[in-house]
Amino acid sequence: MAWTEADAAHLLRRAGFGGSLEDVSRLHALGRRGAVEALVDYASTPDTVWDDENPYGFPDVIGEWNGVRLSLLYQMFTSRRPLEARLLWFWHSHFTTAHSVVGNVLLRRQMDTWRAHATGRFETFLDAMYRDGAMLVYLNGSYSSRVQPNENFAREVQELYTTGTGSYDESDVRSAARAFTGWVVSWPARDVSFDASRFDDTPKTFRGQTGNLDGSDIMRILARQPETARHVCAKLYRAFVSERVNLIDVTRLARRWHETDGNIRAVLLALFDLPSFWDPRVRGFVFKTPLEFCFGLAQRLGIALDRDRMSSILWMSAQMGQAPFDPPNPAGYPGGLALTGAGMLLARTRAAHVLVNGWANEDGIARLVEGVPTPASPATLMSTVATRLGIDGLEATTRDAIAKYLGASPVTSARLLHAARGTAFLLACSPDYQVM
Amino acid sequence: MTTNRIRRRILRAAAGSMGLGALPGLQALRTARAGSAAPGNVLVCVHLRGGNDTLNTVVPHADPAYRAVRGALALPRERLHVLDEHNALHPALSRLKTLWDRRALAIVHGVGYPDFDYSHFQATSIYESGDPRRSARSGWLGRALDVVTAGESADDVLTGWSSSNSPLASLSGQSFAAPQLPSSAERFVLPSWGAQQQALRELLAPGMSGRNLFHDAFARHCESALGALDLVREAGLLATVSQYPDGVFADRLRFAVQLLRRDENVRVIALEQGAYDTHKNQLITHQESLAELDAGIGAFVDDLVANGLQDRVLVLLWSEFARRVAPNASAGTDHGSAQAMLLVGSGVRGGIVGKSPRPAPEFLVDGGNLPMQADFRRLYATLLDGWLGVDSRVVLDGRFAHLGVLA
Repeated sequence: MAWTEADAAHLLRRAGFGGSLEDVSRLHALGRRGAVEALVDYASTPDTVWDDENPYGFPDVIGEWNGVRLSLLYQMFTSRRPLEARLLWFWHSHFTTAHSVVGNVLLRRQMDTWRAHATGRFETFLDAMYRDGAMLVYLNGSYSSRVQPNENFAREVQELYTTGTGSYDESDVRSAARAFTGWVVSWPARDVSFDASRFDDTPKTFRGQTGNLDGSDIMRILARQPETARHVCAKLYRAFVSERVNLIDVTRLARRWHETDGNIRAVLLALFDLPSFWDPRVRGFVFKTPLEFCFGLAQRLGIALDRDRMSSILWMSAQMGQAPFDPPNPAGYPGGLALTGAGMLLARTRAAHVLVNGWANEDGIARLVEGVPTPASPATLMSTVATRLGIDGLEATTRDAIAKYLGASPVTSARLLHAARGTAFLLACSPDYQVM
Repeated sequence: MTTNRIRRRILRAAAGSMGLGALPGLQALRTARAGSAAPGNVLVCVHLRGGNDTLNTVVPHADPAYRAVRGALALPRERLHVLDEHNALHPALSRLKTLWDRRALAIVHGVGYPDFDYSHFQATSIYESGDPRRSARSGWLGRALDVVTAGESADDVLTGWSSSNSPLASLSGQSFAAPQLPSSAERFVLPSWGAQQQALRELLAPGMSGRNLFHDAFARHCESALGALDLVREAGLLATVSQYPDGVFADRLRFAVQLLRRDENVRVIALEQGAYDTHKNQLITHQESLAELDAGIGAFVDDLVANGLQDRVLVLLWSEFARRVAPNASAGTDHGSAQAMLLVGSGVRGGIVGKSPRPAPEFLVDGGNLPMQADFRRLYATLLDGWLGVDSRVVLDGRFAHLGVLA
């Protein structure tokens, strides 16, 4: 199979936020297998961005309302490990908690948990999640006791995090709720501890197994349900390959899951090995999330995101339908078609305006047309900018609108940067750029 | 491509693949519209997100079992707004009490459907689609809007819309693309890109490419966005005299009245409000959500009256479920089933429909929940036929007996 720069760019859009043109060239030089392994086995790539929990230098990152959200976004944006950053976003969207509920301290600690397990064994990940402070607060596990156990986490862990609906009944929810009792998040230290006096240590029956089950037992049972492999693999497929789930591909990923006892790294390697992942004919079925949209443009245009700009991205992302680290409910962020509402699409054009016409400097724009001889034909200008922004093929309607904007006469060197910027802006607003 | 051509293409593409199992064709939609009796009425549907504890919203204050079962979560008797010998409103609902006194509040007890689903997402989807069998892929309001707009005119662009952080599934239909609006007019604008605005507008009106579902959605929603831009901008310029409280829900209601004043074609508005998933510390969190709801609805009604719109607008307050009767260990309540739905407006027949809930254990079903009294589709059918003038059989794929909630 051929391995082109376009393939490398495609890989980096999915296993990252798109990166710069230099990032794409570097990845291309590694060959297909080398590129995938470098992305997936990211521990071998040196990256110090996570060492500093306060990269923007807030006087008090915990006391600052959005301190941790902004720091996390900065770390994801500047990480030298694109897939680690992208996976953190994926796991945050899966094991969702909301900053507005759990606050700065627990959100930061949860991010450390996600980083520790992002490519590890799913069962171990699950076992850590039910005792995670942010999760205990968000889904009310904290202080749930044997007297009248709280069912919130017991339901969502099955519906959203593991098997999906259809394989359990209300008695499973009630049994699991009893097994999850006993955990407490202290205030104000927010330390997690187990209080045996609150735990329901009587026999429970959960999905056909009876015993004095505790939270770890429930998680072990859930991790091994065949529905869990399919549910999580389908979710990975939708996020990384296509919203149109191909059941044969998901079955292949689930098989790899079973062969490796739920090893996420192995499943990811299988995913990046699917013919459908590489087939240009099945691209365009992932609708970019607001962060993918903003970070993708910023990385490609060489935009540095200081504190004020990152605050703007936080706000603009909310206008586009996803408020980073503050999803609307335990199912995580609305995605795909739910991001195509009229108000959200207009918000995309305003974000494109801010990034392309406001923040991108001359160097960033010049890179889009580097090597284009002047006077340049409008068609060459348009296709060069499109390719370098990472758009594979333009719809006729997009080409027509931009051709009209550029006019028929060749673009002189004096007008080149201005025309390139306008073209980049229109392309960023086009339907072609919203998908990948 | 014009609006009409796009609509027709979408309809063709959608035929057989969307909606209820046996959806009528366009001809049936047109026929249904021709029968409409009450043009101009507006339905505002507010989703109380998270599962509203209606046992603490409309309280059976005279039933001793209420206090016995609810324990610390029972509301203090002296602060309740008593409606009649059985029913009282939560202390936060003072504006709704005023509306009750004006006979502009109707309460329907025990709304639900058979074989209840306790998942937020599944239950929401059932109420949004209007189909407990979970086979409809469109929303009940979306299908009603398909009927209302079946004559296909460019003036229809704001006939139905949502003001929400993401599009609401209840509005998704076959032919009509309901715009999702932000909380105020100034957030519904194109970037100010100087003289090049025209290029941007042309780019965003691409017509149907048919390339994939996202391109199609982009085309539909960009088209509705561009079509609504001028109306929204002009509506935003209308001064509001009523006093609204702070907060995004009140902002959305204020914006709704501005749009109702600017555009007589508006018929359906979908909103969402609150954080009702009160698994923990319910007394405080429920009070906060209900207070925001009450203050917002109160100001909204004032605004409607100030603009002479009160007779045209009816508000439905619904949630995905009510909550378990017995509290949990966290001073909260878990997911329940049958709920009380509330209707506000001078077009309602003020009063109570159904029996006040009985929280004593011997009356509970399905592990501690209140029994259902009325299928929610009876309420939907009442609103469709009696308020919107849309044949409910077309929208709900069946015939449902009406409830006595309209004046």
